[in-house]
Amino acid sequence: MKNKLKNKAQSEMVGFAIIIVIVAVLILVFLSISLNKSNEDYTESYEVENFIQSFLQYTTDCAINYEPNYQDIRKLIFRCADEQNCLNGDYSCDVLNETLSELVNLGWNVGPEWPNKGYSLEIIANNESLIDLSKGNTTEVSKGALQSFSQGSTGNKVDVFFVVYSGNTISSSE
Amino acid sequence: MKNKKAQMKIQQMAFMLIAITIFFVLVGLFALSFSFGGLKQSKAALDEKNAQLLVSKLANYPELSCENAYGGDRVNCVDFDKAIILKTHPEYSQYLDLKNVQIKKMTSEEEIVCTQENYPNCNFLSLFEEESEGNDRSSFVALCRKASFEGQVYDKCELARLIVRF
Repeated sequence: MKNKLKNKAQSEMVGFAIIIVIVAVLILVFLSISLNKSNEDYTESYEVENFIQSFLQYTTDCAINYEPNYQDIRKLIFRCADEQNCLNGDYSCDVLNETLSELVNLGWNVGPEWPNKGYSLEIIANNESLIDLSKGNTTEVSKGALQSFSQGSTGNKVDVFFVVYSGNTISSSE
Repeated sequence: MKNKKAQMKIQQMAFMLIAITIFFVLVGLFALSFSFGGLKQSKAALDEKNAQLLVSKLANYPELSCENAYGGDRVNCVDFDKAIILKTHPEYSQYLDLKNVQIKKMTSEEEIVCTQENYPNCNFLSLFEEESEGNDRSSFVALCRKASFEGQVYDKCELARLIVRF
C-alpha cells in the first residue's frame, strides 16, 4: 500500500516537473522573442533625409548665362554631369565639390569626440560617380538616406547617398 | 483507512493546485513586468519620433513654408521673409503649441541675432523668445529669401537648422 502511494506521489512529482519544464521553455521562447525585438535597430533617418532635401536647394555661387542666375545644387549636379563651366569660368564640378564639402562639414560634426564618428556622401549621375566625400570612421550604427531625381529634358538620372556613422568604430577613412 | 487515503489525496491535490497557481502567478508577473518595461521604451521612442516629425512638419506649415514663391513645390523649405514677419506675432506660440522656434543658418560666421533692422544680414532668428525650459528638437531646412543683385531679384536659399522647443 505504501509502495503504491509512493509510486503515485512520484508520478505526480514527475508531472509537476514536466509542467515546470514546459513553462520554463515557454518563458525562454518569450524572452528570446522579446530580446530580439529590443535589439532591432530602428535608426531614424529623418535628419539625414531632411539634410539631403535641404542642401539640394542651396543656392551656389555658380551662375549660368547671366548674373544673378545662380544655380542650386540640384541643377549644378546636372551641369557637372554635362561637364560645363559656370559664368565666371569655374568648373561646375569643382564648385559642387567645394560647396558640398563646406555644407556637410557645417551640418555634421564628426570625430572621436562627437556622437557621429563619420560620414559618407556620394552622388552618382548616370551610373558614374560625380562626388565622393567621406570623413571620419565607419561604424556599425549608421543613419542613411537616398534621394533620386532626374532631369526632365535630358533624362539624366541622379542618386544622392548620404550616410552618417555613430557608435563603435570599425574602420577609418579620412 | 479509505477516509484517510481520500483525505491524503485531497491534501495532495490542494497543495499541487496552490503550488501551480503560485507558479503561474509568478510567471505572469514576470511576463507583465517585462512587457511594461518594453512599453516604456516604446513610448520614449515614439515621443522622440513624434518630436522629430513635428520639426519636419513645421517647415511645411503655410506660416513658414516657401510654398510656390520660389518656383515649384519645395519641401522642407522655410521662407525667411515670412519667418521674420512671424517674429512680430508672438500669439503664434500658442497656436503652434510650442514654447519657441529658432532658425539657425549653418555658417562659420559669428552668430548675429536677427531683428527687423538688420534683416537679412543675420544668421539666428528666435521667433517667440520665451525664456522657458523645455525639450529642443532640430532638423535641417532650406532657408530661402528673395535677394537682389544690381536691381534684379533672385531666389537665395541657404542651409539652416530649425530648432523647436516644446
